Amino acid sequence: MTRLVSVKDSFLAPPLALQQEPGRASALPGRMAVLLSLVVLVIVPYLMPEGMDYRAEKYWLGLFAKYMSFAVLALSVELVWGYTGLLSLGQGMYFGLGGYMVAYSLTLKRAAEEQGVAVGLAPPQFMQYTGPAPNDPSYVVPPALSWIAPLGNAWTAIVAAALVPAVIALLFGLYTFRPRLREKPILLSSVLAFVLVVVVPFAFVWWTPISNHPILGGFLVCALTLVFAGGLLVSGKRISGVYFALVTQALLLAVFYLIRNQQRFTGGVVGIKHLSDLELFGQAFNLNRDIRSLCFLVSGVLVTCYLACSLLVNSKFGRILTAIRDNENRVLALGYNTAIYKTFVFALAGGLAGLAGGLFVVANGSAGWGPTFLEIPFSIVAVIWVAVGGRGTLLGALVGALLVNFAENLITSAFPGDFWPIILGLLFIGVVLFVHRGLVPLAGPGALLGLLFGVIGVIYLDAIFGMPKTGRALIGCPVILGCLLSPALVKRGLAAVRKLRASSEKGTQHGLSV
Amino acid sequence: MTVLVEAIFNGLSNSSILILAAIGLAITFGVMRVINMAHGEMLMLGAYTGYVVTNPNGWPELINGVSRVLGVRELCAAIGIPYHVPPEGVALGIYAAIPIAFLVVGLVGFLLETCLIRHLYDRPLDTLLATWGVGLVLQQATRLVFQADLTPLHPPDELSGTWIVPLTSATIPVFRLFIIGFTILCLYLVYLWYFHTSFGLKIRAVTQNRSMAAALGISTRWVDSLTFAFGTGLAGVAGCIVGHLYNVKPDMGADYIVDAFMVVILGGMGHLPGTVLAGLIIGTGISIGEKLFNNALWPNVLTQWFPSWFPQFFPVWITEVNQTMAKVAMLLIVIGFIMIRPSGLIVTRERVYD
Repeated sequence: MTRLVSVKDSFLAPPLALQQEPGRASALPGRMAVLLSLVVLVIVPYLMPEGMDYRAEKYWLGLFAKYMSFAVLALSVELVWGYTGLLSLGQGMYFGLGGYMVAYSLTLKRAAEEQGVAVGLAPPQFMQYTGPAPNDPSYVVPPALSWIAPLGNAWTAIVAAALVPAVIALLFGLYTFRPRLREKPILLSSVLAFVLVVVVPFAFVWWTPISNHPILGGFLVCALTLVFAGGLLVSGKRISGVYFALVTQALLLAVFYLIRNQQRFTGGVVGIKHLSDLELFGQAFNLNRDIRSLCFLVSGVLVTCYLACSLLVNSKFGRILTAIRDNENRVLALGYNTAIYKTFVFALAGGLAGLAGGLFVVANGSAGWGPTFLEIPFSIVAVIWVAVGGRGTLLGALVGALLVNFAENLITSAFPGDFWPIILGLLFIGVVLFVHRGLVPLAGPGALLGLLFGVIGVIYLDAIFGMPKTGRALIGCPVILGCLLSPALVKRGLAAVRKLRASSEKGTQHGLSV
Repeated sequence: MTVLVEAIFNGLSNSSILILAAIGLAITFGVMRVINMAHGEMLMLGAYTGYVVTNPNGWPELINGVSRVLGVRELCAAIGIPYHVPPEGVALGIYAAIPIAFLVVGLVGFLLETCLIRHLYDRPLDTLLATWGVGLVLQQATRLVFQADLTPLHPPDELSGTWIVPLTSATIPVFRLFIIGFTILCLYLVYLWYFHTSFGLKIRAVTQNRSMAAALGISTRWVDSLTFAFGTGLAGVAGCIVGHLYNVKPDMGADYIVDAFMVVILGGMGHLPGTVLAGLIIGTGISIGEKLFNNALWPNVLTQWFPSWFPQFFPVWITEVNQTMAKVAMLLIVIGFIMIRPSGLIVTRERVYD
């Protein structure tokens, strides 16, 4: 008898990938593995070897803090590229802008500490100010300083580090993806929301410089609002795919030139080196004095971002994002306004990347901040992390960022002959050609746990045996990679054993029956 | 008058370099739709080929560098074979260097296409990433072999003088004139190759309808490989020319790659005359911008044209304007144009399913 299937049913049925396969185990062990690895990520400072001297601890935990902030950047690339399929080669731009926000804050604080005045009054070192001292009656706050002075407050700087890149990404996204908001109520309400969320706080915090320079300030505010409204209204052909990648890259290059060129405002090529500690909740996060709390700060932000992102991508919103990646025309035909989704996710990723940049400045400590992270290669390397880890899995972002950076650290510290870029390039070609989906789909959800186990194992080996750096690199890289892939090997092994046992049981049955 | 003539020639020669760098990309990216991020490194390889060919020390330096990186000398000592330092080579001129650069870099492009890009034709974004990896490897390998950066190559005597334009006092380096002339020659050859040879016909057939072309007996694989090799070979020629103007260094390609991509997109994909037009616009635009964004010029203009209180509101743009700002402005204008018209200056009308 033929089974009658109505058209409606077949459309409503979940897509093939979401259907529970008959022989597939439940997702629970995988989720537990991911949760466990996040917990390990947070308590990494307590997992360091007993009796390790502070220098070594500072070295390794400092690396962890830096690479975890890179992992936040990788999460943003994952959202944009892995889930929505928009290859952004300019994610470093948002990372860099966020970094500048926090670096301004820390350098203002340092200058205020040194010159003994309130934060925001003393010109920081990179401005190379030569005039009367801040406590002199004839001192006038220079215009460049008055613009960055509100960032002296640590919380303002953190919020700005996420918000400024997010707004720039939003404006860029509006012009690139062109959500056509012809319906007037939606247009009006979104302009109103933008004004409330961005322009009003901006005008509030920056009131002093705006009232001192009304033309420039008014120009900036008007331009921001005009670009926003114009982006909503303009209609035309959308750019996508390769064009999008190249345009983001060109914009990154333009911003890099601009920042490197405006020496008096950004510190130019040298950047901002004279930094103080970030102070939040009355706790100073200093690389040299208290590495553990710094590590907790970064890992806390990373885990929060990861959980938020996983909530997002597992919701209906996330399903639409993956649908856009796989076939945008079909999503359009189903009646979704894909451009709004893309714009939103791009702005969100911009904010995440900016936050990552701010965290990196804190984690980098006295080494300071410069425009090197706005160069073109860094943004592509961020894409490499995601490609190595696995596109379309949030875990892949974390795994890729940590794996590639730890490997880079081990190899560059062992072989100063600059072989690393060659290895990186070959790794990338290999991943694209042979492991197209990345390592996490290969290793399963235990990948991050395995990776962390491997890295901590290498730290233990280093602490116990005190290996030379060459040996550390030669042993460490295979160990880390092996540990990363071990969940898959364990799984395969268990499956093989189960199969063997099943077949032997079958064999006895067969024998009995004969 | 003098300033004007010099500015025009400067702009023309800048445009010529840009067009030379972009025309190869217009073939590989515009016509074949392969995003070759290693195009800048192909340019760099061309410049190093020019160095090896035109400099008597070049050949031994290459051999010594390669054997140092691979440890050939230690290997020879271990096996017991005597290792001879290669003798100085013959220094050929720029006229020999240009075709050699074309052939060498074209060969590299051929290998790149057959080994890597062919497997990624259905995944354009992955091609972008993989070729970037190739570029990274090439860049670093060159850095390991030729350790220090090189100074610009010496053009031959007949090209190294200056030429005084009649009726003015403008002096123009002869090499810049040579670049302009050479670019025109190259463009003419590319035109002949693309529009007036059977191979060009095959390329156009393959890009228009691949399966139909294959059905008519054209070996599309062979056409792909050779077209890609030709495009990268042109990048090598551009590098050989650029190496005579600026320092030859492993990361020199990065200065051209974004500009070249912008030129190709601005000109319209698959439209070679459009590429030339876009190159002219961007090149002369940057030259004019450099004259315009001038520290010496702006304060005067601002104080003369605007009221005295005006400049204090624009401290950024008065004190820190220079050549880089011209490039920034040009990039932003091009980005804005591409966002409004992604199909470029000259649109080839086609019906596509989108």
